[in-house]
Amino acid sequence: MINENITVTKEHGLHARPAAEFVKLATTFESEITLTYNEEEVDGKSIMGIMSLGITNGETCNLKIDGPDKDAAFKSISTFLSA
Amino acid sequence: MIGKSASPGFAYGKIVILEDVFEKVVSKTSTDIDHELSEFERISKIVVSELEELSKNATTEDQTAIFEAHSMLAADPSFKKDIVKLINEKSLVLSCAVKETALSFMAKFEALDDDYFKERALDIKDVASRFLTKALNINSSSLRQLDNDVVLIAKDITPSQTAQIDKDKVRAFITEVGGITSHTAIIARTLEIPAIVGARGILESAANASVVAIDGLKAEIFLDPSNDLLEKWDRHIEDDTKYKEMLFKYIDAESVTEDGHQLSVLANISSVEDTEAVLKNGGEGIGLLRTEFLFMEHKTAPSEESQFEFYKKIALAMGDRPVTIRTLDIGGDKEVDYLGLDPEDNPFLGYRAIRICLDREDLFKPQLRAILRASDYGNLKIMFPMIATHNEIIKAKEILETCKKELHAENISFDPDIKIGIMIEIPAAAVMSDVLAEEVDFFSIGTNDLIQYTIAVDRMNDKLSNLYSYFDPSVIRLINMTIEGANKAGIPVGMCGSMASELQLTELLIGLGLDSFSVTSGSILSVRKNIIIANKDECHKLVPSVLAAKDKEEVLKIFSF
Repeated sequence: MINENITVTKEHGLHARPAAEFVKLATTFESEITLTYNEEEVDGKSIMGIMSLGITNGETCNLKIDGPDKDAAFKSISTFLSA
Repeated sequence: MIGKSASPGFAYGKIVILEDVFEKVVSKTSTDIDHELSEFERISKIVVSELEELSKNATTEDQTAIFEAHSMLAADPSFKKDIVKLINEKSLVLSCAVKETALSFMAKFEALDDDYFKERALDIKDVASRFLTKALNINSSSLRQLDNDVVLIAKDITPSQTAQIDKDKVRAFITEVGGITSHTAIIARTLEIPAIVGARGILESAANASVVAIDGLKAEIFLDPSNDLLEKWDRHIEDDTKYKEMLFKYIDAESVTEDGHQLSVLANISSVEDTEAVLKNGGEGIGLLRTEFLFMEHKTAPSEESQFEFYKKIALAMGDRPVTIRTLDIGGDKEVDYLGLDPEDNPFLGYRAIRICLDREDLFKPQLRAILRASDYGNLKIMFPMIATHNEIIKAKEILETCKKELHAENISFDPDIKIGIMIEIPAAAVMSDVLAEEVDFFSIGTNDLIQYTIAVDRMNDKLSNLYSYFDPSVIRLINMTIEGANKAGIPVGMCGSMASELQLTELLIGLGLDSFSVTSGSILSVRKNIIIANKDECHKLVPSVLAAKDKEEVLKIFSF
């Protein structure tokens, strides 16, 4: 399992459109993807979950990925979050 | 029954009540958990495919985006997981589980410190309502299979409901809650469907009625009207249609009087969506963009960024056409919790509008900065409301200068020569207009407040409705004084109160020397027609007798032939 802290450096944080893009990207992987922020843990494939975290630009969250394609998933998701 | 006018026009039709399905859910446990779970699977599939279908068939980009977002929400794994959990662990019936899950997600969104996220709570409610209508097997929101000629009555109408409304079938809307800037009101004006909002008790009284007729302008509602009334309505509707067709030939015409004086007809708006109706009706610009609702619809003050986006969208929609933005006009009579305003005995004579803004730079500066930033994208002007004294203008301008300096230092571009104007709505400002005119680029007369303050009459008070009149010579004298004061300084004067759309008075206002009329989009063409057929010299001849009139009855007599 990959377990890393990541600082989100997207201009609008994980707002509506980026949140939707995040979920679309997450669902392309088989691995389980979990995001933790402010002690709240959510499913990375859930738009409601991601949006209910309200992560803004410059905040750090924890990313856990477990599954057969975890390395590829981590690579593209961490690139996405710091784009 | 009466409410608030949201969109003018006559209409009648069969009553269709749109219910809040959340209120229909009864707390219950299930004896057959497997059945609840399989129902959930079945309904989920239907809801998601329905939403995908809606998004495919949507006619505007906004609608497509709404339904796309909704179909993602409907298929959301967290949402599903929580519902299944509630069914399994608490043996709740499906409808209860959906409602509880939706409410808990809505609470999470509403608690976030960001306007955008807060509003998403409504989207969750919308999607959950779709599940509930299926789970409870009610067809109240079958908006897509409406009969012809219906009037929709609801507590409030949600964005996704309005997006589905078939303009050819719905004759009118009535809602219990909401003001003229509510979502329902804005949509009604865009679709040009008569509508009344804030009609308290309408759901209860309409429950036993089958037909309703409304007068959207007077905001009057008639349940189960007589045949006589319906015949009268038919004539009104026919007249309105013919009149609209006739007016259509003025759509591309210039607002020039018969003797060659160029005037302009602008529109009063409150939202981005309103610009569509303005352009469709040939509006030459926006004479009044109200910004109150940006501040009233949320639990915290809107950020500079969200205001900037709002002003920018309107600037872009209007292109080269001028857009006059009125800074925050709010006071003790409105409930805006985060402002922490104390209730006042006389809210209209109290702490409101520019008086609050000059005191609260934390509110005023973000708005001014947002307007300045948006001025880079169109032809924007700034207008300060409720000015009573010279000093208020000086102070407001100082704060504006500070904002300009800040933006300059931050290398953010804006229109450095942005025009600044004031509302003339307090008699003191009208009396001092020659002095005030030296400080600003334009005046705009707000007649609703000007009349209220001049005659000391509350226009909402039924017992005093006889006193409140556009035709009162005291008001006309103040307007005359304002225009004379402006002329001395060589600045233009517009009018954005409802007196500007009083067609009987167009000639007098032209005669007094008014330069622009700012009206609701539905009135643009009728005012323009009046301008085109008027002769300014002839109009001017009306002025002395009106200014010499003893009372409004005498003024009315002058206009009665």
